[in-house]
Formats: sequence, structure tokens, C-alpha cells
Amino acid sequence: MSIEQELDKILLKVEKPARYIGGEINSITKKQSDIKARFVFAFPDTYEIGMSHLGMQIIYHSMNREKNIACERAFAPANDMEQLMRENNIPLYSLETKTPLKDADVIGFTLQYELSYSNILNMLNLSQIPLLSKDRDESFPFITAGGPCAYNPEPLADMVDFFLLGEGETLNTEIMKKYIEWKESGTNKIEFLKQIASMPGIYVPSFYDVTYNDDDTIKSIDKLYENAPDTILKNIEDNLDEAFYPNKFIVPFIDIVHNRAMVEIFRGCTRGCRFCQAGMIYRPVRERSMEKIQNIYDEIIKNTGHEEVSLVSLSTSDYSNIEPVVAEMMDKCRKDNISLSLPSLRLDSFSFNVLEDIQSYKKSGLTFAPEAGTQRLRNVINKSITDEDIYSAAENAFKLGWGNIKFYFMIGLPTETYEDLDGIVTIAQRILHIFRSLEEKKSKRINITISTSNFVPKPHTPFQWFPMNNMKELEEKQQYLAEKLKRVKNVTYNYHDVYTSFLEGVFARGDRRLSKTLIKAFENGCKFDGWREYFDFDKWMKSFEESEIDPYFYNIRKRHYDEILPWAHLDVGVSKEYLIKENTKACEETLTLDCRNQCTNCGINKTFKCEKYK
Amino acid sequence: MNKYIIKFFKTGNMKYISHLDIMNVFQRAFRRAEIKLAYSQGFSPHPKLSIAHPLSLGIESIGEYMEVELVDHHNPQDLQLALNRQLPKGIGLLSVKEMTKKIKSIAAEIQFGEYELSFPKGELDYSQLEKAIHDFLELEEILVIKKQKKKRRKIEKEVNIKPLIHKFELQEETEEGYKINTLLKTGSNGNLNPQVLMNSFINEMELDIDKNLLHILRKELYTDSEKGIVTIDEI
Repeated sequence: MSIEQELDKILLKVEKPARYIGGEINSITKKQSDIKARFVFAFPDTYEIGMSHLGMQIIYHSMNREKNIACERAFAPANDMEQLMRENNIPLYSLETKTPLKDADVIGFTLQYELSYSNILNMLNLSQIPLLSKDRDESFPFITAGGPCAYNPEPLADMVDFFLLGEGETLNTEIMKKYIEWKESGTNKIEFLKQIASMPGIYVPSFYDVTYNDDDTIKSIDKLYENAPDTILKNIEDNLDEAFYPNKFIVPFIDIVHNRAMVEIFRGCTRGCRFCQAGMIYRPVRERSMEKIQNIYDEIIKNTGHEEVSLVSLSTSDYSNIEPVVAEMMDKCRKDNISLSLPSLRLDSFSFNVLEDIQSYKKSGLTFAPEAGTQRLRNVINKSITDEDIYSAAENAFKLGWGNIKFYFMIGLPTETYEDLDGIVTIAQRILHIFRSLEEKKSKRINITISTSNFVPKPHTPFQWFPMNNMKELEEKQQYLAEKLKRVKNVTYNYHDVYTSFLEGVFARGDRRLSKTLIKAFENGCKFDGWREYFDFDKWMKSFEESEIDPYFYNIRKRHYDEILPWAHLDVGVSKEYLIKENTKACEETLTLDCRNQCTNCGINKTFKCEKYK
Repeated sequence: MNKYIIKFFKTGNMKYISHLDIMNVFQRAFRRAEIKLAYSQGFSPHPKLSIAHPLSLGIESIGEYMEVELVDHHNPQDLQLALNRQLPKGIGLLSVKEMTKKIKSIAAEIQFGEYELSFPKGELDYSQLEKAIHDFLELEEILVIKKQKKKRRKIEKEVNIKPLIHKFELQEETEEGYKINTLLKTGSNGNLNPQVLMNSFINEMELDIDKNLLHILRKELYTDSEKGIVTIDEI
């Protein structure tokens, strides 16, 4: 029986069967006879999450431009579907042609967050593919992985044949062309890895050997194949106007997390927040021209029929021509009956005008992200927002009729004290006071939400050497805030669970010895760790024990500048000197200015063209 | 007025797409075809597009109806061509008629639905099935449990579905299996879901039919008129 026939018997028994059928508008199903190489883009989470991801749409359509190359999709099936697939012996398949993943040529996982690693293993197993690279003979596809977590992919080093560092618009297609050449040459898999190892952004973990000191820190990272590069530099697109951008987004049949067309306006960020990995790894800033943005919008609406479009970037307001772009977009959207969404706007007067316009009926709520409760701590993390900024923005919002305001903070930041936590409470009290003393407000009700997440130090940031707070410390801080905020009226306090943060911290800065833990975790049934209903901390602790790994070694330890970090051979273009300088300045509580004003010598311009470097 | 009645099919994998999602599929297809739907006035405007009788998940159809109101006037044939170019595999327009008579809604006019129920033969022979159908229809009452939600409380009610069955007959025997043709009361004045009917038939007659392999196809929706029973777009 074919997979299609098998599916017909089970799909009515699962929740949201449309997740598993493919066939959406703008999805691409190629003729079998045209395909010389099949790449499956595998997203280690559910359809609704994966389909909301811009990177998937970019990679999918960029690769499918080549006639001989097919890029197809696979997502992690939800639990009900997984059970039925296993019972009926249906392997994980691609949505487009229902090809079992084990029959693909290359399977590419995207590494968006550390808590999805267990799903990768589970998906490989569902595909009937051995988990470890060394156990996969010539008959199995290559397994690759890219995305932000690929900048420290060491915990997956034993499972993935090669990693992709950086941006894939052109690189992915180049690799598949090399793959076709290699396949026709009839040589072994190792030959292919040797051939691509010198391409920009390709990291073949098995070509490097890691040795350890007695204290478990890394002694050295040595090449096992002499032609492999000493350090692997990321690959990026120099010019976004020339880079490929999809205008035929796949349009899902069912509602997904972000069910809208996305127009990416720029990449990178100049703010230099010291905790922020995205702000470091996506450098340099590259803007798309206004003209190109408008073209993309026109094409995308025509091709998708989406009712909502959003402008995406790390920090929308920082686009150099943001006012005319937004004005133009609002105009177009009004004409086309389309709603416009502008995430990550800075709340200045311009933004308020825009928000007033696009949310005039339904005021959905405003979000501020001061990240820390006091000026001192904001100086430490280099978040250049002042108390005054927060209060005047809140006052403005109340005057214009918003009643729902959200604040995001991090707890467990380096140098944090309870005074900084009190600062969060003060902000909440002060906001409430502003609301009450205001006469000309439109909304009668006020709802302040304070959310805290737990700071997790990330590779390639100035904070990569800092220890993370332990779970007890974080919980005590949460309790402290909960207790204090309980006494402030109209305030809701949400906080992120400490157990998942702990795990995220271990894998974010982990080394390749954690591969063993991942295998154990898979065997113990860990999956969907980012989902509260599935996450099982005890299973993880058991897996650490069984693999003889001390997780605290990775989290609760201050690293020295001269320690060899597991990602020492991976280069995002930002220099170690810069990271050290920023780390020192953090300890001195001094700000570094936004580098759009003055270059801060992060080193990115040494290898890449930086528009902001003058 | 620019109102149209559209007849369409929903087959293959599209049977897994729910009613609400189908509405989105159409709205986006209209936008891609650059045909402007009329919107309701008021606080939260919504497009004037409604499907006559939503289909349960898992049922295919070659007799679906939808009414739409457009901003501009369009030639029905052009409309059909333009939309068919924009619809995913498994959904397509069969006909478009301009609405001339003023009616409240086609949904309110629906009286009957015709369905084809097919399933593999298994151990069941023709005469056995024929007898089961006969005996089933001879029952004085055919009672099924109907789950309802009233005032947020779930209640279960026993209802007699026999008066809702207007036709239930063995249509043909093919190599793959049997086909039953049935005409059921459909719409707001009494409605019988073919899945409920088949469940009851299988249980009452103690038949060995695998419900997972049952395939249901809606063939047509009808209304009563002076001319007798006619398809819903002929009112």
C-alpha cells in the first residue's frame, strides 16, 4: 500500500489532518523524472510553527528554482499522528511527494531553538534512519542542519554530517549542485564531505577532533582532515536587493502561528545589546531598498491572497527610511483591504501615529521590552532605554486609548541584585500611577502584564563567559517578584519555567559530549521539550546521569577568556577582542553606543562589507 | 447587486479541510484572482461569502454551493475560469449562476442532500446487504443518541432518524465494493448526517463493515419548489 493509501486510513483519526497532506497553494511538487536531487527541509516542531518560519519559505523557494533540485518539507508530527504512524509502520515522509525521508538525498534540519533537539532525533527515528552519522552507510541520505543554533552545533556533532553556518539563499543550491556532481561520480559519502568542506559556511564535525583537559574543559580542537579549514566562517548574502526573496509564499490551509505574508526589510541590528545572540550573529546590517520592499509586497499579495502582511526584521524602527516605507505600506494595505502588522517597533511618537492608524478599532495591546528594571542593569546589558522613555511612552499609550500594556524583562542577568528586581516593581507601580493621575484617557480599564524570562548566556555574545543563575536562584527571584507584584493592583505577573531555561542553557553552550545525552533523552522518550505538556525534566536528569554528564558544568560556571569554547573554530565575523571589550564594559556598567552612529569595531567589516562602517 | 450562486466540488485531500478553512481558501483565491468581494458594514467588516451547508470533515462532495456578493459585476463564465485558476487541487467551480430572485439565503432553502456511501465488500455478499437495507428500513423507529449543547451543558437525547431518510438503496456492486445511494433531510428544518446514518445502519444490522474504509460523497443539495425537488441553484 502506498503512503497515501495508508494515510487515508488514519488521517480522520488525528487532530488537524491538514497538517499532513501538503498540496497548499504555492507548494511545489516536481515531476519525478525531473528530479536529480531531493532535499527535505525538516522543521523539528509542528506544522503550525514551522510554516510560520520565514527561513523555510526562503530556502524552499530558492532551491526549487533549479529544475533538477526538489526541496520538499517535513514537520514533526504531533503525538496522536506519531502513534498512528508507528502503529501502521508509516515512515516520516515529505509533504510534497510523500517520499519517505530515508529515500531523500539530503535532509536539512533547522536549528531554531535548543529545546527542539530531541525532536530531531525522534524525526530521524520515525524516518527509520540511524541517529548517529557513523551508523549511516552509503544508502542513507546526508543529514545537515543550519539556523541560529548551528553557531554552536556541537551537541549534535555525532548526528549531523555537515552544518550550514549562515544564510542559505545561494549556498543550499550550490551544495545540491555539488551533490548531483558527486552522485554522478559514484564515489563514497566521505568524498562528498571532503569536497564541500572548503565551501564557505560548511562545517563537517567529523573532520575535527576535540580533546579535553582533566577539568573537563576543552584542551584542543584539531583537524582530522588536513584540507578542512582551521576556522569556519559563516556565509552571508552581501546585498539583500540582489539576494533571492520568495514572493510565492506557501499558503497554508489551516491557521498557523503567524498566518501572514512577510516582507523582510533588513537583516542584522546595530544596537549591540550584550545578551542578544541575534544582534551578534546576523551582522552586518543589510537593508533592502524601499523600492524592492514595495515590489515584494505587490507580488506577495498577488500570489498569496493573504489578508495580513507584516514587515519583519530584528528592530523595525531602525530601518533608515522607516517613515516613508510604513506610510507607503499603510496606503497600499488600506487600498487592498489588508491588515498590516509591524512587530518590534520602538515606541516613539512616529510609531504611535502608525499604531493609532492601523489599530484604530481594535487596540490589541502594546509591548515594551526594557529587559532590566534599573538604569544600572540596563547599562550592563547595553539596552539604551531610559525610565523616562518607558514612562512617556506609557502615558502616550494611555492617552491614545490603550489599556493593555505588556513589559518584558529578563531575570538572572549578570551582576543582577534584588535592587534590580525592585526596579521592575517600581516600574509597574509608576505606570499604574501615571494611568490613575491621567485625566484625558480613553480606556477605563488598565491591565499591566509583567513577563520575565530567564537569562540564558549564548555563544558568540559578550555574555558567553558568564555563569547562568542556577534554578534555585531563578525560582527565588520569581517568588520574590510574584510576592511583590501581587500587591500591585491591575498587574499580572508571568514567568518562564526555570527547568526548560536550564536545559536551554546546557545545550546552548554545550560540547559534543552532549550527543550521548541526547541519545539517552530520545530513548527515554523526550520530545517537544518546548511544549509544557510534553516536557519532562526528570527524564532529562535521568538522561544526564545515564550519559555521565554533569549539566551544571555547562551552566553554572564562569569561563575564562582563554578557555577554548566549544564553538572556538566557528566564526560569525565578530572578533573575540570585541566580545571581551564589551564583557569588560558590562562589568563597568558603561554603555556602548549604537554603531549606526559610530563604528564600535566589532570586526565584522574585516570579512564582510558593512554598510554602517564609515 | 452582483450576487452569485457558485456550485463547487471538494474532493481528494480537500476532505480534510474544515468548513472555516475552506472559507479562507476561497477568500484568498478571490484576492489572487483580483476579484473584489463585497464586505459587510460596521465595526468588524467581513466578506459576503457563505457556504450553503457546511460539510463534515472527511466527506467529499461534488455538490457544494456557496453564495457570494462582489463589488463589481462579472460575467459568470469569466468568474468561473478566473477562480478555477486560483484554487488548490481538489477544489473547483462547477458552475456559476447570477442570482436574480431575491431570497434570504440559499442555506435557508435547503431541504435534501443526496449522498453516495461506498465501502469494500469484505465478507458481505450482495443479497445479505440487500436484506439488511430492507430490514433496516422496516424498523418502526431508528433511534440514535444525539449529543447537544444547551446552555453550556452537554445533554444526550435519543432521536428517531427514520423520518429523515427519504431514500436508502443499494446502487451498485463494483469490483472495489458496494455503493449505497441515499437522500436525506438536510438543512435547518431537520438534518441527518450520513455518518450518523451509516453508524446506525452498521450497528443495528450488526454488519461487518470497517468504518475507517467508508467513503462518503455528497452528490447534490436540493430544495422543494413548485416544480418539485430541484437543485438548490435552480430556485
